[in-house]
Amino acid sequence: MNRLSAHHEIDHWALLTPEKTAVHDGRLALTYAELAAASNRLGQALCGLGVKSQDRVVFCLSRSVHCLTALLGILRAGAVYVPIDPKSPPDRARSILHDCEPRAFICDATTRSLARSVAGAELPIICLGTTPADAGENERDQSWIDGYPAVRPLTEVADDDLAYILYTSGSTGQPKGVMILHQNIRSYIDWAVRRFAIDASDRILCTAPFHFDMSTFDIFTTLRRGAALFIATEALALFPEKLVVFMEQHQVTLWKGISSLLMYLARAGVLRPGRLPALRRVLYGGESLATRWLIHWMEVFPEKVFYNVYGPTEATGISLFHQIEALPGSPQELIPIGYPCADTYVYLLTSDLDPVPDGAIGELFIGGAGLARGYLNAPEKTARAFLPDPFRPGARVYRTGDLARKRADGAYEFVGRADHQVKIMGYRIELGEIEHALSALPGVNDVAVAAMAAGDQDLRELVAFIEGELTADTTAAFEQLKQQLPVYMIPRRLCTVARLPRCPRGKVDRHALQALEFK
Amino acid sequence: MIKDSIRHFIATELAVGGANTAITDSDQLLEQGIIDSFGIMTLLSFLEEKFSVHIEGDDLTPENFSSISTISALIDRKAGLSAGA
Repeated sequence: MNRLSAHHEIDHWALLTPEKTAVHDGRLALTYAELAAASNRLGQALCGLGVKSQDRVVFCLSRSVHCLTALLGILRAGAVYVPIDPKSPPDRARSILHDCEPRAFICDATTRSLARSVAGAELPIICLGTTPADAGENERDQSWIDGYPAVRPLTEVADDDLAYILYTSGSTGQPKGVMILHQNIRSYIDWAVRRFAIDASDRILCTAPFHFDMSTFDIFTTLRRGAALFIATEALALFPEKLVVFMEQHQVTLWKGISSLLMYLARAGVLRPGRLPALRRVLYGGESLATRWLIHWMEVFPEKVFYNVYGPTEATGISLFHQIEALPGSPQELIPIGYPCADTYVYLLTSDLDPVPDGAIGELFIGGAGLARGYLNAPEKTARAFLPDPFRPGARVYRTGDLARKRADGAYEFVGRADHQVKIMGYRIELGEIEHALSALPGVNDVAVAAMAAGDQDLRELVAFIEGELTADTTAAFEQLKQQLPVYMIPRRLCTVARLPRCPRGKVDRHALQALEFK
Repeated sequence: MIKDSIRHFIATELAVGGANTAITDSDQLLEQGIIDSFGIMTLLSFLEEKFSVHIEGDDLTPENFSSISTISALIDRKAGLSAGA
């Protein structure tokens, strides 16, 4: 029997439970029938524009039900969706467009000006949800989409076709497009709905940005099981009480959240016994969660089940996971990232790709069904990150750059990074990409960026140490950086130093940076 | 001045633009994206330490954090409460 692709599952639910809410953003809601119809119309419209199988289509939308319509419409057209952060600086958005060469750009009323400024004359812009009066020549709107029939486009999708491309920070200053296949999603979601016992009664909270791999879980587990997805807007994530009320109002049963957001909720004191009664499963990941915050959550909610999950974008979603069986004994206890999920295996290797002895630290390599095809238009980067599996002929493994250790019970512990990548608020950041942008500032001879402790012990902020004399004033310097880097990648401080600390061979000593005084 | 001290912190630590960023008392910090999810956490640490107040989940509302004026009013209320207790 032919198995359905992720985006076709919605047709199944549209027949079975047409009136059931599929997605809700606190303002708008779409039933399964409505989501199926809206995405069919968009799919037809894209085909009408000439979008062909495996063409790329960009969407850049505020957090709303339209995000689901957009990505499903793109998949229905047989195309590949490429989400762009609505807060993306124009230069970064342009470099993504340049790299993926999309056939259409989907925006909404809030992102239309960004779309217009980066799309260029040739790229059609489709504005979802509104019909602006001043539409330009190459712009389409909702009424244009509504002119197309709500009938499934006749496109075929193969298992090894691309479903989406997510851009992550690249060390040379160029974001890398990770290419994810339909079969990657299927394997991941098959496992996830089984392992976390997700069914049609589930009400899943979505706090992850759609340009972030954590959203794959939210979107596709919902569609697989005919559950309901509740999209929290960005403002909700700033105000813990409002987020908790939103979860209570919508009786959210499962949440996979970024660790920093769990910390924030705990810290804000909004977690109290008896709250969030419907919530049964909490998955956290994207970065480490200080154990004291996990203890806080577990003490307030002993009845809920907590999972620490780990996985790079290049392996689709969760690669390893750990169910927290008991309240950690102390805040010093390290919570492991646990065990590989189904169809996934891992190695801990030395730099020569030899296995490390039991219990020793090695670099974590991941193999299995979640592995992406590679990076778009970057065969060399792909070859460096996706290596031939040294132990299984014909297979590939992904080099994570993460260091880990295997405990006696077989669970893996994350111990740090092998390279210059940091995580801030779950965002994966290559320090090299920031240094590349900074080095273009006038007067900068050399530069090193470090993530330094910021006030609160569990927060870190980016600090740039600049060798040389910044000739432009700092306001102009920041203006230039804002054009190139997302806000979360811009160092909060620029410090000039006489000389950067260096190792004997001349490389910047990143360890010594941490000890530098800065003002 | 509470407002100046908050303004200084926001300009130097949160706003992307450094100490020279001009922020008025009534600038809409949330709408303009000056305070984001990272910013609000560092701001909280600063406010609690600097003004010796404890900001609870109930205080974390868009109304209280919309501008320097409203943050300052929140600190006044919290500081008044702890001084009176």
